Amino acid sequence: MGSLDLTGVELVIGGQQILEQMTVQFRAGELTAVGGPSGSGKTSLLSVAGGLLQPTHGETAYAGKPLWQGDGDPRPEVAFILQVYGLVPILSARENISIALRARGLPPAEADERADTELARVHIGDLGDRQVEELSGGQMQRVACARAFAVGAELVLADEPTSELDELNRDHLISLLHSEAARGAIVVVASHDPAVVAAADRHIALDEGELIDDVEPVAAGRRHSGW
Amino acid sequence: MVSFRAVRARSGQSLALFAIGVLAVAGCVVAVGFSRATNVSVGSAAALLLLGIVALAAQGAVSVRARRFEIALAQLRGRHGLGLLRTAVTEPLVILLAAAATGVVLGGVLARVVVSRWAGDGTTFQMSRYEWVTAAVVLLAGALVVATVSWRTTCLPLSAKLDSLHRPRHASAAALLFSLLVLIGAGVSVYQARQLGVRRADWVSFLSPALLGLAAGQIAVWTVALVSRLAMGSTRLNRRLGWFLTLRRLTRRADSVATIRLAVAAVVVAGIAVSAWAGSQTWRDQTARMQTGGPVAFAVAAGGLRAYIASHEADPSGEWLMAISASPDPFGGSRRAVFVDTPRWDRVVGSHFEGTPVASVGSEIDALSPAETVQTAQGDTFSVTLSAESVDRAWPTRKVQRIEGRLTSYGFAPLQFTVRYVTDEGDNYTLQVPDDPGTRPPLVAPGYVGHTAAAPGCARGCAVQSVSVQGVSRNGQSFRVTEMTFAGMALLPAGTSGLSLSETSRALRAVASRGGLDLSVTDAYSSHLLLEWERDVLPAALVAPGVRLERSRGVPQVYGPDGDARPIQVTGQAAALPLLGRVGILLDLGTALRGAGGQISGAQARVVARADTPAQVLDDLRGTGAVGRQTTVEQAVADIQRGPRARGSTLYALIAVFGLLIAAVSLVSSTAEQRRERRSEAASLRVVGVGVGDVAGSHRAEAAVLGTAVIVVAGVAVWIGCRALLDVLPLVVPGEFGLLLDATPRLGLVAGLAFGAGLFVALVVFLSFRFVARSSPPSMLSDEAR
Repeated sequence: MGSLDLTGVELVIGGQQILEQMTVQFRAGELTAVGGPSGSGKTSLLSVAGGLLQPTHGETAYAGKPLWQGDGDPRPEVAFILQVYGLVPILSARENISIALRARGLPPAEADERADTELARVHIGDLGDRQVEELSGGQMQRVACARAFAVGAELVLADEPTSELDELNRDHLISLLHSEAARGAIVVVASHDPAVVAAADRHIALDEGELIDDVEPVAAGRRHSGW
Repeated sequence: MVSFRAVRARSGQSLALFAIGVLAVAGCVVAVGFSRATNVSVGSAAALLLLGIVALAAQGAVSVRARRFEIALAQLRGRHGLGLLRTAVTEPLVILLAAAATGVVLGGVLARVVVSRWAGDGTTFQMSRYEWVTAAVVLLAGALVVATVSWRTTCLPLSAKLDSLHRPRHASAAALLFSLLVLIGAGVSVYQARQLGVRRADWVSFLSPALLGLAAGQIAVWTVALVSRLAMGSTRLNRRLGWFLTLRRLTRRADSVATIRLAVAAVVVAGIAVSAWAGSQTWRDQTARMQTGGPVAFAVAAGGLRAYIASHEADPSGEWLMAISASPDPFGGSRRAVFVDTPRWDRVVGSHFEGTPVASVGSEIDALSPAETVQTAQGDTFSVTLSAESVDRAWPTRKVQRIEGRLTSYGFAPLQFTVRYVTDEGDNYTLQVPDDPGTRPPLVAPGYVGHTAAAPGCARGCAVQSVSVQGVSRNGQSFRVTEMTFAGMALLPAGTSGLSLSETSRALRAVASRGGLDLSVTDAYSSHLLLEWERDVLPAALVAPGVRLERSRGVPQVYGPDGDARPIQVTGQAAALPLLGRVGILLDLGTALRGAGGQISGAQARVVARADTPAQVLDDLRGTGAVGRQTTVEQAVADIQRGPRARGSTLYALIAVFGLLIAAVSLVSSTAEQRRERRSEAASLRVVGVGVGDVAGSHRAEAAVLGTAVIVVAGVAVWIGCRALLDVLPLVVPGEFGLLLDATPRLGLVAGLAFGAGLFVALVVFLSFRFVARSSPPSMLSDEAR
């Protein structure tokens, strides 16, 4: 798998500088945490990196191909875990996952089966038939995570994936993120959570849209056992 | 408490609430005002009142729920209890109040225009307490729902108020109860309407179109949800994502499907109204044709005999003119009778009644064909001639004696003839010849004596009822009557003119002889029938099996043109009669006039003419002096149109227009209300790889499903409504003909309306969400987070 390259990327929206010009590379097999205070541009960085937004200047590319497709839709290799979860209210927990798989060509029965598997991985296997409105915030967040994991994406972009989780589930989710990285995916997580930052292989920091820190692999003792 | 910025932010819902309020109030004001101005029952506006209240209540609830965040903010700022409730209700109540005021003004203006245009000459509209009360009811009903929903919203936990996700609103107990009440109400109203009939229509009947419509709307909602749920299993085999999404949306999002509830209800009311309007056009045409009795009708004031004589005089061949006479039952019963010149029916009016209930009369006419008809006379004298020799023998000697010193002649009326006949003015007349019975008939010819007297009222035609005689013939001798002529018609020999010798009585003996008629009379003081018509049993065709006949000695009776009871023999049945309608008896005029007296009051007589009658024939008819006012079918239609009898259908048309407008605003508003969530949904789907085409396809499929549901359910409901309700709603006043509105649903109209409504619903849904998929990039979800 290739790397995710942001080259000279700058983002200006409505006259406001959201991201200062920056160049950063995210590598396969790494869990990268993106930190920074609120409004520092973490979400915008993920949106640009995932091809949801076109940078005002610069380029984003994955494995040499541009991520921006012109319509704001991400490439099939990209999976998002959004801060607002991005679940579809008219679908059940299972269906929110299976539709992502169906969209990638999986037969319906197989998609449902894989969805159940992923729900079980995030410890909500018994909530498959629940409607989104019937889930708590933490449960919705886990469904969003399960959806991203289910598609086996090469690029996993997660925005505050642990904000609603308790300590146990947070740690479990971090281990799942590491599993994604371990299978070779590029995993980028924007988070305030110190536990997430501490568990990441790499940490970059933003402040007012500017890349101010890029910490290479953290202490070996904190790495996931899969490494 | 009312922030204009906040109102502007919710301008869509506020505008919808205002618009629906204006339409509901204005529509009710127009409906009530029009009904008062045209003497149609005010209760007829109840259907629109119910639709308006339901629409207003639904939109009011939406408006309150849209203010959850504002209410939560007020709560965070320390407002509680009544203060918080006041925050919740103030804005929607102000909008409702403004809408009601605007609606009253607009409704008043529209009512004035509508009444002046369609309510008949000179009818005006003035606002009354009825309109004010109706507007107040709409306002209060809307306010009550707003207050109730506001109170429930304020009672929600703060977290629920602030929850940005759409939480499924399980139908509240009140909503479920309302749905059940509507269904039950629809069933009861239809049943009760059928039982009570239009003459006793009550509030339940008046509400029935709206109840049926709302019930149909609810059934449509449930059907779509149920069918979608059942069809969800098919998506395990079907890879089409658009269909996958559509079924789930229709099953799980009540507001997606609920958009069609009011649309179906309004279409059902409109369908009944449109069918009523079409039926009323037919009703007017049929009523006019039955009212006139023929394409052109001339009133004849002098009665059926005059009409008969005039039509035969002006049209001897029977190609163009036909006489009709209709007699009421003097006791107000069902023995009303119409007499027609049956030999002329087919040629003169055979095609006039095509398509009307009277059309079937043609099959019964042959059975009524007369064996013999009335013989009419035209002239100005009555003469009777006797043999002088017989008079000499039979004339009694007058006795004279002195009583109390005065000479007095007493006793005998030697011979007097009394002729009873019907004049050319339709009056009964009695002619006595000679005036003084003791006058010996003078010589009129060698060997013959006789009397001649003027017969007034026969110059243009008359008919003899009977001839009587009184007198005394001496010593059993007989007077020999050699000639008796009335107005040019010979009465002897008996039977020549249709009059036959009466049965011999003790006081009168009449024997036909070679020279004439030998009369022997022994009663100086009373007349005895000499010549009379045989009182035939009239062949008659009944109308409707329910006609109740009086019987005399087991023989059914009818009142003839003169009001006298005549025996009849029923030969068949007909669906309806000209001039009478659905209840009455049909007979031949010429037969009924034999021996009949003058026309009774309340009877109508006329001469009807074919539409292509030559002008000369009509001139000849007018020249008889018998006919008066001329009426054509077109004039009759115009008269009915101007009159109050068919205003009910116009009122329902007005109700339908306002109902459809309210439903259209409600539909557009509810779909616009969903746009924000649809955009979020589309973005969420796109971020996981579902293509724009699939998302857009799901919206198209939804539009098609909803449109189809409207077409099917509304079409069926309109059909049921027409069959069940059309002929019991006060749409037309049946009048003397008892003609009811044809309740047969017009397939073309019903299908067209249902299809048009379904297409409109599908179009609104399609256009509302047409660009949602394309204009909702996944990045907007991140914008929400920011």
